Formats: sequence, structure tokens, C-alpha cells
Amino acid sequence: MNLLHDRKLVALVLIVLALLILGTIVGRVLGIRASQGKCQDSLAANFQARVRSWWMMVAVFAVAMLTGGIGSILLFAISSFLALREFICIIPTRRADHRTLVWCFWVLLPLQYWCIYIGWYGMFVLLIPLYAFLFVPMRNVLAGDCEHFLERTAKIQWGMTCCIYCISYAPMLLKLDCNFDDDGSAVNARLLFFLVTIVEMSDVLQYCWGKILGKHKLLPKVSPNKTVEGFVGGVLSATVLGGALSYFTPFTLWQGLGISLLVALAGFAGDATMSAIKRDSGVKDYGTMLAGHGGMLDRLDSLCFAAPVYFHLIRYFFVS
Amino acid sequence: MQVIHTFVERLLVGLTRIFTGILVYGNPPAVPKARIYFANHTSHLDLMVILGVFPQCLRDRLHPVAARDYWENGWLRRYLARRVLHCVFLDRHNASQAVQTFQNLAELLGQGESILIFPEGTRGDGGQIGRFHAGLFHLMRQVPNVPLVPIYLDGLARTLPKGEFLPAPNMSKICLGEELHWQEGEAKEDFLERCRASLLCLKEQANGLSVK
Repeated sequence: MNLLHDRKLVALVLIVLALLILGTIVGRVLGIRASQGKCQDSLAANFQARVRSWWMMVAVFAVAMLTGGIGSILLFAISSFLALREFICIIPTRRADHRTLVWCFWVLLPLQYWCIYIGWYGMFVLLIPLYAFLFVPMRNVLAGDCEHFLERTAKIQWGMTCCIYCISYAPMLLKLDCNFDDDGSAVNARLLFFLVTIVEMSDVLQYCWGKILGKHKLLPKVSPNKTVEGFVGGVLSATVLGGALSYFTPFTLWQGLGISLLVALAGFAGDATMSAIKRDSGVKDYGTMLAGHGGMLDRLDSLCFAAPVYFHLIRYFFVS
Repeated sequence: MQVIHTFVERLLVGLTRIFTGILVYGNPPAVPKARIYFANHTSHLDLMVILGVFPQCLRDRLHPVAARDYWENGWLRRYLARRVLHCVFLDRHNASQAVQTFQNLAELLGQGESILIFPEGTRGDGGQIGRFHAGLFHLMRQVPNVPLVPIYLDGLARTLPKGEFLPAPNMSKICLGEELHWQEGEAKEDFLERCRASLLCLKEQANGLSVK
């Protein structure tokens, strides 16, 4: 896979770089305005921290893509690991769950990404939802602690599905054997890039629209920062962005718009669901790994729901 | 050889970082100075987490107090305790030996080294903080001017509980409290209770910090 020979991919990367530079400039302007007392210090600081994190994330992502499939698979495997680590932190596990968790982290997680590496689609799809689903309660039974048994088992299964299974759909895009009428050499890499860009931009745009126009609370109990204006504005502008970027993908304009809309909606659902889990556990952010963003799971929650939907859309409609 | 010992130490600290995303509350000390650190004990990772938040110049001069019967048992433990972690062995079952150890510790403190002690004397299950043993009191009586620093560790009993070999990754917290000082004429029970209370206070803060 020679990524640099694919002009459309290079163009996509340049667009993302331009967006980041724009973000940095806006951050600087906000910083100056804050020092003049025209806007809140915390807003400017938070914005700048977010942009810095984005630079980091884009750099890591770019390096992963450049090293070919293995780099991306490793990147998402590490992301899964960190996300699961945060998820396990907020759910109350008991002493008897220890060995089960050891299996989840050190055996099932690598196995899932190994299936992607060798391109074993059948096992990739079934490993977590079927085999791990059966394995987790079995291993918990062997530990012999019946207290809150179903609850504990279900929570571990939830963590596995969200943090490993759903996220692993993103690198699996690289293994899709599509029959697109497309001239580029790295069409799969562009599919992945498109997904990540739309999901993350949808998040960012929802945040921005919410900050600028937000008045009516959307889900006050789940996530007090979400507003109707932010949601509608963010999803619509992400859809428009997807339409505009569809030139760089094998999709037609209408396909690009439709897929982006679904991806943005699924992303929102993921974000809201993870927020609900956090509220339930009395935590605001999953971790402090990425400055301004909370933890790894706070950043991947949208991708978690969007990646499987996107993958199966493409597989259903574009793979013969 | 020292290069290898340092490498092993950094490897262990680095692996611990991977197993437990460490959230730090409070300020880790920056300048080497004679101090007695004391912490609640739930896991083998405890020491690695504490080393992980200390700068290298402090790590080299920190001497954890380790149970002789456990850490002298087997070549790997002995190697780690002696060469890598600069432990001082304490005999849990021989009072006269222990008295000698406390004198050695006081000497180390006099040379500007630091001591880390787990006053519960063994690893707990991560729930309650156990009763403190008197060693801390006997040590403090000999070095009344050395400040005490409480450290509360949270979540590590879930990462690597007692009796387990492989860790289940998890996010943990380390909270460093304000320095405590020896108060002249304080009774043993009162002193130990005051130290334990400072850990309980940090524990409450740690639990409160994640709930917003």
C-alpha cells in the first residue's frame, strides 16, 4: 500500500492539516481576547488544550497510516486497551473478576486484533459477541462468587463490546475487499480517514455550535452540555462536510451525505450512551490522558458506535 | 551492574504505568531531603506507582522497608528488593532484630536519605485501611525532626491483588498529603491514629475527586 502515491489521500491529509492550523489560529485569537478580558480564560485554555491534543492525535494517526496496515491495527489495539482500562476503572468489579479481566486484556484483545491482521473476517465478527460472551460468565463461574453475578458479567461484556469489538471495526476497514470504481491505490485508507474525520469533526462541530448558539438542553440529565442547537448544527454541518469530502472517497455526493449523516447520528448515540454510563457511575471524565478531552474513552465513544455502522453499510452496499 | 539494576527499575516502573493509568493528586516532592513516606498497602504495584511519580534523584535515595520473611524468599525477590529497589529488610517476627533495623533506618535518615514504610505491615484487600503497627512510632521517636508524608493509593488492589501474578489493567490514583510532624509527648496510640487519619482523609478526597 503506497499511501503517498494516492493523490486523493494526500489531499485529505492536507485538508485536515489546514483545519488544525485554523484551529491553532482561532486558539491564539481566543487567547488574546481572553487576555483583554473579552472572553473567558477557561474557554480559551480549554480550546487551546483541545487543539493541542488534536495535533497529537492526528500525528499519531498519520504515522500509523504511513506504516501500513500493521501501524493502524496497533494504534487501534492500543486505543482499545486504554479505553478498556478506563472502562474497567469506573465499573465496580470484585476480587473474583480478576482472572476474567486478565483474559480479556491479555488474550481476547490481542486475539481480536490478530484476526484483523490476518484478515479472518468470520472470527473477527464472532470472537467478542459470541465466544467472549460465553467465555466471560464461564470464567466468572469458575471463580465461584455469585454476588451480583449477572451484573458483573454483563458489565465486563459491555466493556469488551464497546472498547474492543466496536473500536476494532475501524482498522478492519483496511481489510475490506471493495469493488469500487476508484483509481487510487489506497482506497481503504481513505475510507478509514473519512470515517475518523467525520466522527471527530461531528464531535467538534457539535461542541462549537453548542458554545455559540446553544440554549435548549437536549439531554439535561445525561449530558448537561449537549444542546438541541449543538446537536442539529453539528450533525448537519458534519453531513455537509462529508458531502464535500465525498470527492476524496469512492462515494457519490448523495452517498457521501447519507453515510455522513448516519455516521454523525451513530456517533452522537455513542457519545450520549457513554455519558449515561459515566453519570451512572458518578464520574465526569473517564481519565485525564488527553488534555481538555478527558480520557481515551471520552474521545472514542462516538467512534465506538459509528465504526460498526459505517463498516457494515459499506460491506452491505459496496462489497460483492 | 548498576546500569542493569537501573534498567530493571525503569522497566518495572514503565510496565506499571501501562497497567495502571496513574492519576496524581497533590505535589510529589522535588528536592531530596530526609523524609518518611508512609502509604496504605494493597499490591506489589504500590511501590512502583510511588517510584513512578518521584523524580529520579529522589528514587535513588528512597529506601522502602520490606518484610524480610517475604522479600528474602527466593532469588528474584531478593534481587529486586536489594539491588533494584534499595529495600531495607525488617524482621516481622523478631522484636530485637527490628529494633536494630529502626536504628539503621534512623542513621539513613540522618544521612539525608528517605524511607518508605507501609505501616499496615501487609497487603490489604483495598477496602479498609488496616491498623497501623508500632514501627512508625518507634522510628519517629528516634528522628523527631524528620517530616512524615502520607501517601494514599487507590485502585491497585484491583489491578494486582495479593496472590495474583498477572495484572488486570485499571486506572489508579495516588494522593500525596501535607507533611505531618512529631508532637512532643504524644502517646503511641494517638500518634498512630493521627497518621492513619491522615490517610483516611486523603482517601475521602480521592473518592470525592472523581465524582463531579
